[in-house]
Amino acid sequence: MEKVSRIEIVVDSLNSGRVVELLAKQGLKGYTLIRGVAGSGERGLQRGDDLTEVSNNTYILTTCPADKLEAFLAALCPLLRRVGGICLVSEAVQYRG
Amino acid sequence: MDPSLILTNLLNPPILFFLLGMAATLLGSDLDIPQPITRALSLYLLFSIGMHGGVELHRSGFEPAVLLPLGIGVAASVAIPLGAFVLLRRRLGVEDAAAIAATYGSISAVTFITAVNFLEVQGVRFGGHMVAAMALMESPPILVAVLLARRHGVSANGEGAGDLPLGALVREAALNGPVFLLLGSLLVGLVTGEQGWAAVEPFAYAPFRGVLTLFLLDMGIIAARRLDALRASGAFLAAFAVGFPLLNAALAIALSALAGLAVGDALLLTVLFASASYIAVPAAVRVALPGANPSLYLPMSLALTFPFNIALGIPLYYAVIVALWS
Repeated sequence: MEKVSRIEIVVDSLNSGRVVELLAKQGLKGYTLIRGVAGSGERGLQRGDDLTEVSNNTYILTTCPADKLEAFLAALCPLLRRVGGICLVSEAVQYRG
Repeated sequence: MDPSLILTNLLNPPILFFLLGMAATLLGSDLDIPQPITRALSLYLLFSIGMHGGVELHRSGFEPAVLLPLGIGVAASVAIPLGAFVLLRRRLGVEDAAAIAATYGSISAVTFITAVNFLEVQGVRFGGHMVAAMALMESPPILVAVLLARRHGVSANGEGAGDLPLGALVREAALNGPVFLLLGSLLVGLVTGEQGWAAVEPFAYAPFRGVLTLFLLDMGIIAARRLDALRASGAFLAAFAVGFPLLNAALAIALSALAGLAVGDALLLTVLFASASYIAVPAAVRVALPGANPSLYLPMSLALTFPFNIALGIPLYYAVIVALWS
């Protein structure tokens, strides 16, 4: 059992690769990624129905140890400001089988 | 102009199914085509038109008459986004203007395919090299738009996330999935010629019109969903979405006449000039110019320019070309 930060990121699908690259750069190797996510936010409605993924979001779930959180958010926030998206951070407990 | 030409075009199954798709959305039907199926249909259409074009090119060979429309097309794919950008900058910010300029400088493969279908219904021949013109015109506007945006200081904001290196951008534009498949199919058709075409024709040609019809049904559903966003974008952009293609069409018809193109090739070149991308460019622009608002450039091309071109534009351009050529 380990206390971690649970990080949920919703970003447009065409820019999700940049978030994944950033995770790797920050040493966060594990993540779950769900494509074709619909929703609505500051940049309007993302219908999730687009052939080109322009109107699709991607949901990324990962965890982060406390000592890496600040550096990760410092790297992520400028990217989200530029391309749009949201990042939620909450406390969680991680169990490994 | 003979009004029956528009009526004949409107009463074609692909156009009627496009309108049916729009009606389904506007009337609140839950009709929907799963995205992987739409993607498969679009890939089939690109494969079919690419193979067909390659075989036609194999038959005709590379004559100067073949290279001329290709040259005109490539020159236009650089000049049109420049002109669009100048017009749009009067009302819009740099990134939005550049994104819309790229959208209208590039081409719509499905509009082109619908024009091919129109020519086949009319019994008018066209050159396979026009498929190559389509493939060559798709990517340059993306590069032009990004260079324009950078020239106007978009990369100087210090945030860096939108600053895709130019080499990566060229690579992305050239290796864009639909463009890659189209060019690849064209090459396979060119290399394998009659023998290759005979081997794939039952699959590559016979179902073409049916697949186009089903694909346009989905396009109708999606286009109607974008109408609200189009209303929000304002009268200037709505007028641009119809007026600018008409201007480009007039330019294409004039250049086709000067170049002495045949009627079929002239129509296809006109459609390439007048159409706007809603597959390759919006995806590339979303990455290269993330500050541009997709709820402007996508609804404009998909919900207005595309329906206008396939329902009214194609028969209109054809009627003008036939009148001028005869």
